[in-house]
Amino acid sequence: MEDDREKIFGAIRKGLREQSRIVAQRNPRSPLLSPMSADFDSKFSRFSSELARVGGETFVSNDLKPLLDSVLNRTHAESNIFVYDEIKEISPTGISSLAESRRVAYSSDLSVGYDKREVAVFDSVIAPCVACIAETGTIVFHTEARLPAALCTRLFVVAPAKSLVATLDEIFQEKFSSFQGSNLFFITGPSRTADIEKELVTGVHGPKEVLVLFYRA
Amino acid sequence: MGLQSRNFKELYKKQIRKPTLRTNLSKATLQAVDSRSQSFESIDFDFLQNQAKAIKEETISSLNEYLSQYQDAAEHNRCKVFFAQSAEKARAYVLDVARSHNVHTIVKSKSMVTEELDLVPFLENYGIEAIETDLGEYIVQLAGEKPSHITTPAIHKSRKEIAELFHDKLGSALNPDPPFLTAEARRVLRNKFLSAEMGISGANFLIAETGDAVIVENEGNARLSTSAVKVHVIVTGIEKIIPKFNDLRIFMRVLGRSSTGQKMTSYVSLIRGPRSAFEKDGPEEVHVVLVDNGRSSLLGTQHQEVLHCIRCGACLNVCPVYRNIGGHAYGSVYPGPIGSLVTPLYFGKDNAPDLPFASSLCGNCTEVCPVGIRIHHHLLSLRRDVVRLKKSRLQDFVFRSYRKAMLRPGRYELIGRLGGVLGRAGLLKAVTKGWTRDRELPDFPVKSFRSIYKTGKKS
Amino acid sequence: MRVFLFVPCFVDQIFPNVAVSTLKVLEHVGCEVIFPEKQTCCGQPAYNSGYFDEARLVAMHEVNAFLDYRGTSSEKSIARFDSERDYIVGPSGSCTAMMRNFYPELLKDDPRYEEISRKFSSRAFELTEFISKIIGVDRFKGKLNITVSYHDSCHSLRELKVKQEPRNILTRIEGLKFVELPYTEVCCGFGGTFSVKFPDISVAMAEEKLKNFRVTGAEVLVSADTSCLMHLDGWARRNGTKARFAHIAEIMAESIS
Repeated sequence: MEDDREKIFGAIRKGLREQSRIVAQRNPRSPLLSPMSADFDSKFSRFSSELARVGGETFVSNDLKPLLDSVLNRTHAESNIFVYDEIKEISPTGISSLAESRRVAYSSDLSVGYDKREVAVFDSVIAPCVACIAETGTIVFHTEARLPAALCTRLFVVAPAKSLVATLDEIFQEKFSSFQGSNLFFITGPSRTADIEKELVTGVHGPKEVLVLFYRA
Repeated sequence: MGLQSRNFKELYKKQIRKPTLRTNLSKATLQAVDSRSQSFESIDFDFLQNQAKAIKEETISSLNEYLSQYQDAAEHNRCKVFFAQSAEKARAYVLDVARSHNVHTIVKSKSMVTEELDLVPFLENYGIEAIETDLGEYIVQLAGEKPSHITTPAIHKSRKEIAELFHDKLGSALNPDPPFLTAEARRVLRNKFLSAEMGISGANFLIAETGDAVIVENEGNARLSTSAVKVHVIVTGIEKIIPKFNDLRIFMRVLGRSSTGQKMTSYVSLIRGPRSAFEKDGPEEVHVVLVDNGRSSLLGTQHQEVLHCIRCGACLNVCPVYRNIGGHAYGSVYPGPIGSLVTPLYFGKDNAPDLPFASSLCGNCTEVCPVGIRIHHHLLSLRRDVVRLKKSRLQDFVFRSYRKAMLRPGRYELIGRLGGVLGRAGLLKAVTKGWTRDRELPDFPVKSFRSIYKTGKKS
Repeated sequence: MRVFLFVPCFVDQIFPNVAVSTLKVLEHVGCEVIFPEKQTCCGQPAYNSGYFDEARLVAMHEVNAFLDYRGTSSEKSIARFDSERDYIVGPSGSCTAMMRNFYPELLKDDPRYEEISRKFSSRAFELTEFISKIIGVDRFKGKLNITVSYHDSCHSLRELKVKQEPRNILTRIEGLKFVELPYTEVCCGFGGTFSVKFPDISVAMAEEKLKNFRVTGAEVLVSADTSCLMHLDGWARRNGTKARFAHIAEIMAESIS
């Protein structure tokens, strides 16, 4: 079908013919009224309070143990757990011990263009992230499969301590704008709605529980 | 359903008589106003507003360059970009895409532009099931209604009404508990997500520099509508462009706060294109339909800055008129103060002659607008356009007489005193029915200030 | 300090006591007050109704009534408006906003635009703003045993950015108890011709405002705009709500008598 590009561009040119180009004076300063220190502890404390405010939980540890413990606590023998391969690489022994008591599948098990019903069975997902943002308690994902994390009820996230940045200003930079692939995805707490009488309900379409573990390698 | 904004006077009278509507709306909007204010406490609103406005001014002043840059980037990312000047054209293209993939079911996330295009009923006429998956949108779709708010579509409905609706349409138990109702919707819609072949979404921003579409939401339904499908179609307006990836640092900070009082919404998807070689899921095709539908006619007019709007809905929540009559009164998919601009400016001033007047001009909308649109000033100048367009002999006579009186202080005083005499005799009620139906007239004094002043000076 | 008193048309004709009180207050704080008698109306009714041409003519008449004032025969000296020294002060946030914020927009194509905006618009002040910013609030002393709440008119609050000034004045009055109105920033529903074009919406807003006023337990609802008060008072009387509505100039004048 032929589109209307030229007609629309013609109308725009006509409308703007007597105007000169305006260039915004972009001011790089931070709009935050109280600045945040760059050390991990301050960023961590801000991140966990922001995430807690929207109903998420945060841990910090030298290994994955606290996270795997909560996976065990919140699931049962019949639970299907999806684990991204990156997590297995971080802690092969931890994940294989989890696999002893739970049904575990890995992202490498998925074929390209897999049937989406295959992943609808996973109630819990353990996923890696590329960054976390202290200012807002936000987790940034860039994974080879996006559906498992979007369909599950519980989302467990493993974040390297060094991936924690202070503010949004650090995310919306060249380093992140040049990502490869189809998408970059931000999660700030559980899926939620206030569409019925403004009452907050979590777990509408996506995860009801979101847990983040920062590990210091 | 079409545009009903010509009938504003009948529509709003019907709405204002619903006492539960006013109670629901008051509660919901005042709560939204409070959480908005709280969310801006730790951040410099004026700075963000100035920056957001400046960036939008830059974008609109070079809209063709930025659209062009966006198209190049998006096509480089393997998106298919389609420009549609009219609603018909946009609808036809979406239908074409759906048919060429033999689509039976479409999952849709919230988008004002698709509402504007009446896209869902159109697709359903062609036998394609198109399901709204945002909870509020799903509720109004089930009810056979239209959304009454830009960001909270079912704001006019009580939990009891929703429970009855779910009972009738889905066979759910009659339980007005919001968590129960939400779980019911999740159950039904999950099946739709798993069977749909195509997803439709809007876009909050399109980034010219990178070709990304930014989709902001809270429920996760947009994430699913754009991920669990073979084909993803983005339908949005040509004004949604922002120049740079880095500009998101400003817009992401104002959008969530302005719309729902959140520092950040639960989900933000930056969609760059279809599935890439190293990915295992995601759509095989991404289409972007850029809709004009009246937008370009604002360029070069004094109302150009109305194109800055990012559809946050903050002006609706603070508007005392909206709070009393609700979104359906406006007879347009765009209600509230911004709707009273967008509706006449996009769809024709003669189609909405009363909307610019449906404001007390309190200016609260302008105060909270994150992109600095002087909403109430635009309403004022639209009033002039409407007066010129739609002659009213009575009104013309009233204001001609007003002018004549005000230009002659003697005549002015004489009329004022005559008014006082009539007022004291109770004879003004007949000509001031608009006032006296619900209010008393003031007591009319024997002397005006100027005559008191004159007497005082002489003595 | 010399003040050219600006009296909105409906204050002049319907609420003269507001203007008398304003005059008294201005003299109390040491101003020499002149009332240019050719003034009529700021033009706002026509402007807000979309009749810009009519509004422009009336606005120009108003501007001239001040800028071309040459004194009356009874005045011994020629009281000519000096835009470097003199001020235009009126008991209305709304009409002042018209003169200061909307004249520049309405008159922008007028050849005298520059002059008007410099000599006239920038010299126009609302009463409480003038006393706070120009005179100094400590010049005003009053005493009155009364409990009041304050209604911010939208034009005072959002066009003139006057918020703290009237509160500072009221709380200086000895014996006066001030109670803040819940949702004080919400419009009362007057809105000029809006109040008669959409009376049902307008009074629904008044109802809301008075509900909030009752919560305060105050005797008097005070405002710097008579128009809002006329609307609220009209609704209250129709609905049998007992409340007093007073312009801030009236409360100030009572407190110094």
